[in-house]
Amino acid sequence: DKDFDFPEFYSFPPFFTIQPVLETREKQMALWRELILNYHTSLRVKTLVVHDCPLWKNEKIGRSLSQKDTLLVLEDFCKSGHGEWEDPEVKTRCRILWRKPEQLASDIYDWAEANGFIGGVCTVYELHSGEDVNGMSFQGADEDLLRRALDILEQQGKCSIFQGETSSEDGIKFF
Amino acid sequence: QEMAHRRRGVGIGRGGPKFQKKAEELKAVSLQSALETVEKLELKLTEFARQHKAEIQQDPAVRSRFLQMCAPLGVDPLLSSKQQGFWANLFGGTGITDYYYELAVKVAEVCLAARSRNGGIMSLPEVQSILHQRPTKFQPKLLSDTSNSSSSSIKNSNKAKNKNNKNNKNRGEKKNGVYYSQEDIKTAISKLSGLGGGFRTVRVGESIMIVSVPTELDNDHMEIMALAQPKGGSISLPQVQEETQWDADRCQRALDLLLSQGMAWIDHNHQSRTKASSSSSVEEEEEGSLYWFPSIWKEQLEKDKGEEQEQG
Repeated sequence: DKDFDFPEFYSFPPFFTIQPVLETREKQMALWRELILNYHTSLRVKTLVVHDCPLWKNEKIGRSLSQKDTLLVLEDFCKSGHGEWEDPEVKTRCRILWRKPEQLASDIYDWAEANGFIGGVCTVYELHSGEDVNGMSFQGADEDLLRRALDILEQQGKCSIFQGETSSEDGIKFF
Repeated sequence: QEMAHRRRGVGIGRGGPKFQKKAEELKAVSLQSALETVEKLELKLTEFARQHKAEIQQDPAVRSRFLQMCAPLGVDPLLSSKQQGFWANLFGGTGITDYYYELAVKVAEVCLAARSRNGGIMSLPEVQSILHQRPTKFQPKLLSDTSNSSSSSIKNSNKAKNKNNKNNKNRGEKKNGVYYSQEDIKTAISKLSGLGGGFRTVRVGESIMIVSVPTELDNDHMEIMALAQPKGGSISLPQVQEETQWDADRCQRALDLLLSQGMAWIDHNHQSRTKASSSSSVEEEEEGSLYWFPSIWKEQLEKDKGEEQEQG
């Protein structure tokens, strides 16, 4: 399936049965969280459409998660902070946050420090698409997600946001 | 002189006093020469140990031979220096105790890291394979430089781990330049057993498994796992019953323990392709369920990989 290195556990048949023993189930859920996050992060997919997602079924071993169990796994995933329901009433689409806003916030600030932006200014556009952000976790990030990260930094007093002509040109001053 | 008197050897009480005296003289001489031999042996061992310190640490064959040389003296160089007393100085410079202590710690780390997925039981070859692939920050540069490149893989540990699993052609292959023989690992584990925590090796079928939890495993458990070996690591309750002829309760008890300890995971879906109705009763589901042992499954995976390599 595309270019993703599936972990060994994906071929372990019991992975597709929610385990009755608590400790084992906790391990299993952790593995599912990891799988969902890694899969969508490495393929740069931002939205998980529940009935379209190829992760629930492994043809090679003839196993699949039941619909009920799929939702269990997704609820657990969202609780971990890396996922959000786009439609919480029907739960068909889940936004995948490759990095949590808090993580992005600290990544952005670290980068700003390392590149001499403290006391300086850059635009929202430069943060997700600038030349200086190659390889950074926030490169190519949703502007929406970026804003949430920036809001966190603002709350922490580490930056202030001011409006530009377009939202992409909004500026950020780092302290 | 003291020892000669304590000895109850051949000749005491036989023949006359002349003979007895001769016998004692002989004993004294042989004891004396024995003592001298032991002294010489000690010196030789010390010399050997000091000269070959590096090899003893790096080469399992040399190490094994060294231990064999110590055996006739009744010396266990792996004992802590407190226990050794006199011998502490003799082996203090060889680092052999350190070697096994360090290995024991590594083995314990590997077992602990894997415990959540296999319940605290894993095959010896699997432990060995993991040890060979671990980055060794603190190991002095031995045969290759590969240990340096693995430090950058910490961030992408998932990817790297998967790649390593795929690239690992030979279970015994030195990836980071260090090699641990199965004998070494077993010896290290025997040293761990004194520390509590349940570290031990057990035999499951034809394999040696390392257990790192205090859980009491009896022959029933071992036998069930052994039965799963030729089945790729899984077995059902009816299969256990059929092959052991135990009553259902006994089978279930053993399986339940293994499940509760995380040494077995349950699989309800193996009939998902053929299940026609969605209204199957819970009992039906239980009957058809499979118990999978991650340690056995992993072991069989490695075996298949190894065979593929040989054929390919």
